[in-house]
Amino acid sequence: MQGGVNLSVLDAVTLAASAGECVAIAGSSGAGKSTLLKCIYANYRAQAGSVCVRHRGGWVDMARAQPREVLDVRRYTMGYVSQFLRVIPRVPALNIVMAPLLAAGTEPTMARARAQTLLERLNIPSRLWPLPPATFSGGEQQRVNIARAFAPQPPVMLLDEPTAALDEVNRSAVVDLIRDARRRGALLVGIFHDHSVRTAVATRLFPLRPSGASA
Amino acid sequence: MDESPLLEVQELGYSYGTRAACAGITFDLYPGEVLAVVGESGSGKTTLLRCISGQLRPDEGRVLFQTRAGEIADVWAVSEASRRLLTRTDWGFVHQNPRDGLRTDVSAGANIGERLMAIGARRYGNIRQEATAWMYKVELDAARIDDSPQAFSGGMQQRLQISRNLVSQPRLAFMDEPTAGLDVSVQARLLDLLRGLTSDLGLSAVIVTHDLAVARLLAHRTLVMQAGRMVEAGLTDQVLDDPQHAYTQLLVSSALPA
Amino acid sequence: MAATETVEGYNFAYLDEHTKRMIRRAILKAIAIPGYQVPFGSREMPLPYGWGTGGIQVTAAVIGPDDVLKVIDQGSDDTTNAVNIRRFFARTTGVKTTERTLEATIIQTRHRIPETPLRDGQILVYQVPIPEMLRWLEPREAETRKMHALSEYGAMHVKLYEDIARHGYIAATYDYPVIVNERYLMRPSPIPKFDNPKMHMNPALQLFGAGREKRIYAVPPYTAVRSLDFEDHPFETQHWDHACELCGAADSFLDEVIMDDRGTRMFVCSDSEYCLSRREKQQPAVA
Repeated sequence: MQGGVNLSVLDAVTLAASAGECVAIAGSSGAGKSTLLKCIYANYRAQAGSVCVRHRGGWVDMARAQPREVLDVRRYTMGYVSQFLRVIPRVPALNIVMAPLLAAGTEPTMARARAQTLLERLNIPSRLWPLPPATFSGGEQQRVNIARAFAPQPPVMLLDEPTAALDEVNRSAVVDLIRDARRRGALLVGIFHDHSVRTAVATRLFPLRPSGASA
Repeated sequence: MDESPLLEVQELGYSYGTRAACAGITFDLYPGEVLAVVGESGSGKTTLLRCISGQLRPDEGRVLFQTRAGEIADVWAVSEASRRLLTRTDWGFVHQNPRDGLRTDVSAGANIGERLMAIGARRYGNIRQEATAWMYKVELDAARIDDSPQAFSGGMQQRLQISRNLVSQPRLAFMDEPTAGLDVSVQARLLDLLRGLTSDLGLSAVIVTHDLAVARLLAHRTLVMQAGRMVEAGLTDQVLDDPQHAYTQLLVSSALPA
Repeated sequence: MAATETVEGYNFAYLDEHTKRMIRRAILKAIAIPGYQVPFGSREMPLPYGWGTGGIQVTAAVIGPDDVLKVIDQGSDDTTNAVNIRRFFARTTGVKTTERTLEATIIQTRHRIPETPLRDGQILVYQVPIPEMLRWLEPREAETRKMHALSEYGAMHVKLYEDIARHGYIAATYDYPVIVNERYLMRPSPIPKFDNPKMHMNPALQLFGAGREKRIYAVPPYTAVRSLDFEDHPFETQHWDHACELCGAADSFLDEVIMDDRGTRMFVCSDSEYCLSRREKQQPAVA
């Protein structure tokens, strides 16, 4: 994405007071919606500008932060739902969802309970929990992915087409999760292709036009 | 977040004759971090690992390690006795070939217990108990504690080698291609085990690998080497998803999709 | 003991004086650093390696015309090795030889320490096949020397661990590792571990010579010698259910002797002189 990103993410704490916000990034294909999300998550390094996020009572510029600062932000402040689930092959679904909770220091029995609740809400049958998701359907894998990102309840969540592979029932389960997150004061920034989902969750549209510069 | 690095490598260089195997290598490793060093054969990654793990004295640069006592030890300036003590206590080294890191003429239990005995454990019962616990942790059948490692499969030998290293609760582990040469299914198990161990024990690790998938699944950060130089370094997902250097781009695009 | 005729044409105790001086320097160094293996220029001797060439060179370097020499092999004064070495020194030095432990000033031994306690002024010379205790752990000489220099001996316990894991107890019965003066790990030569406690605080000077491996080491008088063990598997010596069937000793190291083709066994003292002297005391009329 030429020209980089210049985006100030709002203070999650302030948003909590205003009951949370859900920003839908809108734009045509190739406008750089995914790239923008990846720059916020520091998966891509923004070449100019800054991505400031409120973390541990201060501001961290994700575009300039040291790797371990970025990791710390990801562990405690910012969650990300990617389009695909990428995990160590033989790890059971339940453990995948528990992992970010454990990494953030949650006590194992609590982490397990929280992971089970989420998998239930996302309609993953309990007989699949002890199995690695490699053999799951695309929709099931995506729901494990969503459960994993929502499990630690981060103040900021980035969603890259979270409902793309889901049917009606599961789409509404995800919509509920997003609304719950907003209600507890989280900030969500997402790309929602599905019009009904976007209408159901977004509090604001952020239109993105293809960059004028070319590479 | 204000803690100091566990390991600092500064301008490290080593040459075989006139040919530089690695040069100008600088990086920090913080407690709990896993760093992957990737690059093709001959890129100098194993030489780098040997230099920072106290096995090969570098021609240039420094390696600083923060000891358990909180002091900074200049690995190649301290006495050989201190350096060897570090390698037995605070460090672990996992060889690519488990037979290089195991005593194949004594039992699995003796292999695990050796470091404990080397740092002064003198109760047979405790050593055995600890060895049993570690066999369980690395998913080996504890009933085989008295078997020779020669009777173990490659994957089991590798897990035995790992437990033998971690039994002294090191704070830093060096691993040279720990999953190479294993069946794919065994590899997956070992990766899961390594990830669990590093996160449960708060262990830092430097893992040399040519397998980008190993780096992605295990390492927080990745350092890319080409012809003895560090061409790119950063968060693993940044390096692999958004490679900046032409060589890294080539490396990433050459990897077979999983 | 009947004097053997001395032979002409050899220097006293066979070795030339320069060689003896070189060996004495090595011995002095060994005494100064108890348990440390001192390299020395081992000479060709008129018998093959493995027959006590190290012990013979040490004895040759310390023996003088007034010494009284005793030589034992596995506790016995009259086996081939002992007889030959005794005769060798009798012929090349003309010194008095004896079988009496108490009479001897120098005792050269293969694989035993006499049962009769040694006293001040005596020298016990051990014949050593392999001096390096760490060799089984580490094949490189440079590395074993470093391990000695840095007292890296913990891994020695791996061998003992393995014994307990396999047998339920430390099954090693001879060549049992010791720490000398709380510093150097030492291989006591293949003496039975029954003899290990005798090395501890012994009033005699103990010298060890390895001819093939070209090493000399020493335990000076009254030096601590500790056998390695575990707290929950402490060092123990062998015990027998029998006493010696000849002299009745219950405190000595016993050999099992097959008496006939029907497999009749007998347990007797390994130290033949000790056994004999006890029998003489019991029955002074014995020839």
